[in-house]
Amino acid sequence: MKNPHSYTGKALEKAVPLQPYALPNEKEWSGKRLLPTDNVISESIAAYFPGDALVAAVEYARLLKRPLLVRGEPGCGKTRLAQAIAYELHRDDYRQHYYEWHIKSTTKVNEGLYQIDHLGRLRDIEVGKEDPKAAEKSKELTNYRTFGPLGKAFLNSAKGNPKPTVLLIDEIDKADLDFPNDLLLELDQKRFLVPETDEIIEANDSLIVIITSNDEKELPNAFLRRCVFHYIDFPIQTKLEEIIRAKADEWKDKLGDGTPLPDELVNVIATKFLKLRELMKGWANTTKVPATSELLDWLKLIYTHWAKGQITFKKAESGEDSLLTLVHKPTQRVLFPEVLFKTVEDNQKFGNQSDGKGVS
Amino acid sequence: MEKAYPDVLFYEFFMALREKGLDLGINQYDWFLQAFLQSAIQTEAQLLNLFKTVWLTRASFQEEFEHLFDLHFRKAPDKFLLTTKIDEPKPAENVTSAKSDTQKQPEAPNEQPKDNPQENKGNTQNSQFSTQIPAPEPDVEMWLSIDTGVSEGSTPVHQAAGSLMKTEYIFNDAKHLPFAVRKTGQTLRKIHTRIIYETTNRLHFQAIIKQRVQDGFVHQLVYEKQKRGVQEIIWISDHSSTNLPYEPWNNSLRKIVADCPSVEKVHQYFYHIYPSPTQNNDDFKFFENRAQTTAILLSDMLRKCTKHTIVIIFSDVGAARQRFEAEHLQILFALTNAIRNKTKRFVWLNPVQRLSGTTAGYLSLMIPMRYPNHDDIRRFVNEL
Repeated sequence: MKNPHSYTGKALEKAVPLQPYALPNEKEWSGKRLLPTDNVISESIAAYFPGDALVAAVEYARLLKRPLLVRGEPGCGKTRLAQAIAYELHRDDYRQHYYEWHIKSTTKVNEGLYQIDHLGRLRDIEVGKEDPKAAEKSKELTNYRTFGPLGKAFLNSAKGNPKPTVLLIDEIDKADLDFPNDLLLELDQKRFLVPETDEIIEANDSLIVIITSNDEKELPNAFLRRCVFHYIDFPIQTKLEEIIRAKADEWKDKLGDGTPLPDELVNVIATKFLKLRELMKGWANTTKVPATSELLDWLKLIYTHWAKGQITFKKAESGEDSLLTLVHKPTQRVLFPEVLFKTVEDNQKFGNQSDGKGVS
Repeated sequence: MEKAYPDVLFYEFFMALREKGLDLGINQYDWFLQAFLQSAIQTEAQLLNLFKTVWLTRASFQEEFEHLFDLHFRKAPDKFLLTTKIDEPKPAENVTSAKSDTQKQPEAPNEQPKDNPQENKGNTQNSQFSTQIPAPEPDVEMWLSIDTGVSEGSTPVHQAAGSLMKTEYIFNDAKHLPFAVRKTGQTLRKIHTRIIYETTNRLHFQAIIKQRVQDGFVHQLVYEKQKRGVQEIIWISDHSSTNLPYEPWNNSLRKIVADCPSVEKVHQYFYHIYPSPTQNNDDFKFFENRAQTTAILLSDMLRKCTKHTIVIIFSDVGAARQRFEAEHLQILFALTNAIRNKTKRFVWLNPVQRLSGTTAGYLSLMIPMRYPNHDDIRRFVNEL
C-alpha cells in the first residue's frame, strides 16, 4: 500500500508561507503561459492536523480510485483536507495541481466540466466581417470553450505528472438533488464528453477527488455507492493541544512578542473548550456546538489579549478549575462568548454565567 | 459450530449491514476486499476505520454500525480467554459459575431471542477475524457456550420451540388493509427518520459477563439499549371547499404517516384557502383544529421545528378550479420560503394532477410539489 507519494498528514504541522505564485489561468489551456507577474498571489497555508483515521481514509480512497466524501460538523476542517493533501504531494507548486469547485445552490454540473461562449462566437462572427482575426477565431469552436474546475483537474491529471492532481468539490449538499446524480459518470469513469467539439476529456486514474458535505441534505444512494467515506470527529484533547500550540506559534511574532503559549495555558484552553462542547451537547436547544474554526477564532482573541497582558491565568488548586479571566471584565466566566455562541439562547445559557457554574 | 459462509470474508457483517438498511452492493464489497488485502490491517480500530470508509454510507448510521461491528468482531478479553485453559482448575470453576449465574435467570435468553443468533454470527466472524489476530479456537468456543447460557447443541431446537410458543399471530394483522394503503405505508416507512437509543430495564448479560471475566467482579450493571424513532412531522391541511373531496385521502395519508414506527408525533394544522398573513405580512396564522377556534402563528409552530422535522402540506392550491391568483401565489411563496428557511425536509402534496396555468402550477416551479401516487411518494421519500 505504501508508495513514495503516500499522504501522511505530516507536512503541515506548522503554517507554511509560500513564495508569490501565479494561478493557472484559462489561457494555459489554449497553449499560452501566463507572464510571471500576472495574477500573482501570496499565500500562507495554515497548519493542519488530520487524525490517523482520516489519513488512512485518504489512502483507501486513492487505493480504490474513488472519491472521498468527507463529512463532519461545520468548521471541523473538511475543506482544508484537499489543500493539505495537495500541499503534501506538490509542496510550493501545489496550486498548479489543485482545483477547487465550490458548490452553490445554483451550481450546475456543466459549470464544473466546460462551458461554451456561444454569444462571444456570434459577436466575433459579426465583427469578423471587418476584422479578419475575429473571423479566423470564430471558425474554431474550441476557442470559445472554457473548462471548469473538474475539467481542468481531469486535463491536468492526464498530463502524466507522477504525482496526482487533487480536486476539491466543496459542500456538494448545497446544490439541488439532481446535481450529484449528474456527476455519476464523471466520477465513476473519470471522463466526460464535449458533444459540441466531439472531444472526450479523460482523467488519469490517480486523480484524487475530495468531496465535502455538511449533511444538510441526504445525497442520493446512486452517488453514495460511488464514494468512500469519512466522518471527521472533533479532535481529542492531545490533538487539540497540538492545534492550539501550532496556531499560537504561527501568531507569536505577528500578534505577540515572540513568546510561545505556555503548556499549562494550552492545556487549560483545550480543556475548557472541550468542557464547553460537552455542556452544550447536553443541552437540547443548542443548534451549533463550537467546532475547530470557532476554537481558532477564540484562541486568536485569547492569544492577542494574553500577549498584551490583558488576561489573568490562575492555576487550578485542589478541588477547583483553572481560571482564565479578562483583566477589565473579571466577572465574565466565558471569555469572548461572541465567537463561541451562535444563538442568543446559547449565549444566555453558557456565556454569561457568573455564578461559578460556567466553564471558566 | 458450522459456519454459514466459510469461504467468504466478512460476508455476514456485510449482509447484516444490508439488512439494517445500508445500500451496499457488490462493488462496495469488492472495494473493501481490495483495500483489506492490500493494506496492513493489524488492529480492530484500523479494521473498523476501513469498514467505515467503504461501507458507512450514512453518517446517521454510525452508532449502529459500530454496535454491529462490536457484535461481529470485538475480540474477547484476553483474561477471559485464559480462564478456560485446562491447566488451571479454578478458572474452569469460574466459567461454570458464570454459566450457572445466567441460568439462574431463565427469562434472560427468552427475552432476547433475536440477539442470540447475532451473537452467534458475531462469534463466527470473530473466528474469521482471528486469522488476523490469532486466538486459541477452543477458548472462543467456550465463550460462545457461556454467552448463550445454554449448551451449544441444544440451542437451535430450544430457541425454535420458544419462538413458536410465543407466536400470537400467524398472519400480519395489517393484511386486512387495502393493498394501496399498505403499499403507501411501506414506502413512507422508508423516509429517513431520526432514531435514538434508549436504555431499557433489561440487563445486558453479555456485557456483565465480560466485566465479570475481565475484572473478576461485576462493578456496574449494564442495561440493554433499544432504538426509538423521534421523528416529528408537521402536517398542514387546507380545508377549503375545493379540498373537501380529497379529505379522506388527506386523512388516510396522514394516518399512514402517523402509524410509521419511527414517527413520534404528527402535528396537525389547518388553513382555509391560504394561511392569513399577520399585519406586518411577516408571519402566518394557522388553525389548530378544524373548527378554527384556536390559532397558532407559523413562527411559533416553527420554533420547535429543527432541520430534521418534516413539513408536509396537503392542498390543491386552487388547481381543482383551474384558477390562477397572483395574491395567493405571493403569500404561499412567502410561506414556503419561511418553512424552507427552517427545514429543507418539506414537500407539498397536491391531489390534483393538472396544474398548468394554475397557482399550483407556478408554485410547483419553485417548491417540491408532488401528486400523492406511489411513484411520486417514492420520489419525495427519497428527496426527504
